Amino acid sequence: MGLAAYVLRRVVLLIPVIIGITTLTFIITRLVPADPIIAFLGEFARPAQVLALEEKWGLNLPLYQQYFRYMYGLTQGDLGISIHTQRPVLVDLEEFFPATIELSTAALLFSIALGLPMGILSAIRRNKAADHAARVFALTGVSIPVFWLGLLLLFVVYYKLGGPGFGRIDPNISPPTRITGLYIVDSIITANWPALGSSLIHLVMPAFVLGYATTAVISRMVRASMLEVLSQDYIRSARAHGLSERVVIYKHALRNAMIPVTTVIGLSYGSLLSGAVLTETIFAWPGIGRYITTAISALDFPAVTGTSILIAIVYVVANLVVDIAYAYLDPRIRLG
Amino acid sequence: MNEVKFRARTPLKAPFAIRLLRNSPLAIFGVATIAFNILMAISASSISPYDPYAMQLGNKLQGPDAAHIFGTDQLGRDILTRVIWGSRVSFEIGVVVVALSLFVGIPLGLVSGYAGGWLDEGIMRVTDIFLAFPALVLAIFIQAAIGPGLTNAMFSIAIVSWPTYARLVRGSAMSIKQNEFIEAARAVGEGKLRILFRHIFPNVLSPITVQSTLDMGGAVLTAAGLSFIGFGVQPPTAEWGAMVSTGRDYIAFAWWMTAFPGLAIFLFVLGFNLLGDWLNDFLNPRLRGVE
Amino acid sequence: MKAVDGVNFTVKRASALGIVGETGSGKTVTALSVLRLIQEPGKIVGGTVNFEGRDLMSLSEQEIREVRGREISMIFQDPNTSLNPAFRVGDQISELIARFNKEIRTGDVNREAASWLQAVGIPDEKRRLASYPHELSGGTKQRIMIAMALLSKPKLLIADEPTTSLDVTVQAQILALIQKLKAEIGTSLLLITHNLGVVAEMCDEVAIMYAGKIVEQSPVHDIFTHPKHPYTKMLLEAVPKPGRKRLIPIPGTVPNLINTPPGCAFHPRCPRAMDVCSKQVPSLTKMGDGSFVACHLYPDEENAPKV
Repeated sequence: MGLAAYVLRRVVLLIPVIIGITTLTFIITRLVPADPIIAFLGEFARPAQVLALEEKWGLNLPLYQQYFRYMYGLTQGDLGISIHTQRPVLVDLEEFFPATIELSTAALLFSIALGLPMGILSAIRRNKAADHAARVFALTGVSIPVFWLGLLLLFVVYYKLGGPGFGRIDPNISPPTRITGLYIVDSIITANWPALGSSLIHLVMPAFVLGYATTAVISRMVRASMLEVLSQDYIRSARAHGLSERVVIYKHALRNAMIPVTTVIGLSYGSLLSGAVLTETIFAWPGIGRYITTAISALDFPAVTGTSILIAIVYVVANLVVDIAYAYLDPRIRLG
Repeated sequence: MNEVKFRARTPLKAPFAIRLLRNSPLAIFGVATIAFNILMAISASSISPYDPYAMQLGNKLQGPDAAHIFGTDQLGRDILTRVIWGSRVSFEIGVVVVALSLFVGIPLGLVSGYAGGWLDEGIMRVTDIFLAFPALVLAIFIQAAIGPGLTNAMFSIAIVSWPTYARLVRGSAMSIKQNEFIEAARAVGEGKLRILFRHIFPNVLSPITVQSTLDMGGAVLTAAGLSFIGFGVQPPTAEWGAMVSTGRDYIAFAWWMTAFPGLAIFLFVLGFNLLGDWLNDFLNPRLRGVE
Repeated sequence: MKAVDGVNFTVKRASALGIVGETGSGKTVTALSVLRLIQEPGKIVGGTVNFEGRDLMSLSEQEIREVRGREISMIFQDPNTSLNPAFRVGDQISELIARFNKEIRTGDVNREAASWLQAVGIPDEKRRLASYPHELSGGTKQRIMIAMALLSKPKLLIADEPTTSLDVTVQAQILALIQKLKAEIGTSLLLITHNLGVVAEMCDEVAIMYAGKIVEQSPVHDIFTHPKHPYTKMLLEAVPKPGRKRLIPIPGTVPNLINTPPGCAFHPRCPRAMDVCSKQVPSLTKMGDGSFVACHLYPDEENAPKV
């Protein structure tokens, strides 16, 4: 089947997954020992208020009816009201989501830009010095706590060297006009060069910290994949045809090697989203990661729930995109 | 009745293991690190210079010096002592999480892989849903529901980890199921349960061993992350992630509060990652028996 | 461990030399060595490859790459793995066509690719060009490999077991195709195979290899009528013949190249082995009728010439 049919099929399969996610979320919300009404109204709520809210939230209904109310509400975009901001969770998420997208995407681009050449180099110079160095780097990457790395860098760069530290932009420069919510994009669209420069500078450290582990994973995967591909017969054919080593590696080999790597990239997005929770907290980055940690301190369960659902959906969609890229790169998959 | 005894697995030879280990300095370093951590945990009370909870408020936020090699924290407690005691908590976390994940994941995986059909489909859909969440996020979410504390944290992380084991076990079970000697066993009349445990289970051990080793480190990392945002361990327990979290507020002028506990996490996880990598090579059938 | 040790042969212009041997005889390694395609951990440690007056072993990386696919081409055994699965077949052919003519226009490239598919007997060229390798049959893929090898009109084609992976019916077609194009282009052929029947059809001269050495070499007709080396005789005997009831295999197995038997590598399996065979390695000697044998049954008459 062609690519288009494959894409359509995968998108349709997305629906049961999302239903599953939201159902699991619902189950977990019912595990809360604390009373959500008291949490919302405070300890000194009057009984009349409690009853009214109970009615409004449908908490006196049987469980399966609550479930349908919940699912219906989700399709309407109703994620509840955040306790600590007193706004609909959806509105909060809309405000903070772009910052996280910007950070995660920057981290991902960074890790591909660094991890891919590192992996290729390791494969070409297998078991030589470059390979060993890359391996050590990769091991530190997956073993180091991301928040520790962030704090140490923050300490050195900000406290000791006076470089950029917290936030998305220098406090003295106003953010660009909000069009997409992505500072980089908005600065370029509005030709706001000071904002662009400052945003970029402030993006570097958090993106590096967040992407560090992913760089490690990608470089190992690229190495393993390249080694596998380079031992294949069609690479021998390419060389026998007299193609230059550069063409053999960067065109013939890499194209095939990238196939399993794209899966890793998709899975990495999950750890990037998790890591964003910690990284944003450290760097005071106003994204949904920081939002969820603030919500936790404030015992704001609706906010935590809403954010978790959003992150899960983003992760699922990211994996879908990756699967489509996989099908594009490997024509054999489309038949399945 | 003659008992038919056979296994699919080729025996792993000790000399091969030792030779492979000798050739891998990184693996040796990993094992050494783990051993060091174990020693630290076992002998915590004897080797710590101070009591982990003893506060010396007159001595707070001191930098590393002769009396306090890692310095003191905001309540005057010796950080070296707390780092040593933290190793106990880390092992507890690692062991409990891995044990729970295995306890749930292995049976489900075996059943799923061997039985097939709609049972397999059902279990796989469930694992899909769990795996649709990024690990830390789901752990945060679950713990937000059930409340803070170390036990809840371990439970939460275990819920997030079991699907991976179920999948691994299922994969192994499915490929072994095809093997002819299983047919032979059935022909001789061995019961399904017996087949599951005597033949399939030993072959499933290899990927599980690797994953468990890696997860010892992974569980500690996740737990540290949970502690960092306020879940997990509650004060005054000495746990490395919580120590880094506390240290964050004082980092500008007391960097040692963050540096050393974080370093401990790093080394602990690194050790298990190195061992896990090595085990992966060792148990990989392609490499076995090759010069 | 030496996969190949002391092998000498010549391929004459526009003729075909077959190299015959069982698995492990070193024939593939020999073929790969010509184009210096040996990869780590293997290594070419010595020797010369004389091609049109130049020693290929002494060329730089850049220079040998110029030779590959242009003056000397190679096709391999398994067509299913020899094409890149990620690219369309037409693109893979076009890449090679464009290599020889950098300024050629896309339209012309496609036309040439299509005409080559015709030349190798593939119908419905346009559709095939747009296909991916996994969508095509083994026979079709091998034809494409042949096209890719011959489009530069090379002086020498090295074919490493080109039909072994194919169905029996397809085998004959492929061999016929190679014959035909070889005659049209005037290319020499170095054919590696374990199948004596193929050699009989395609080759002018044959070299028999065993355990990394050539043990007999002669014009093809002589090999079948007057085989000299015991191994050659047993190979011929082993071919099933109609009317004969039993299969006559060669006893024993091919030696492990890490531990070759002392002296003549074949002596443990040889029905005519003598005392000297386990002590001294026989050298390739030229016989009166122009053939070469490495066997103590045929003692040194002249020195074995360097080719």
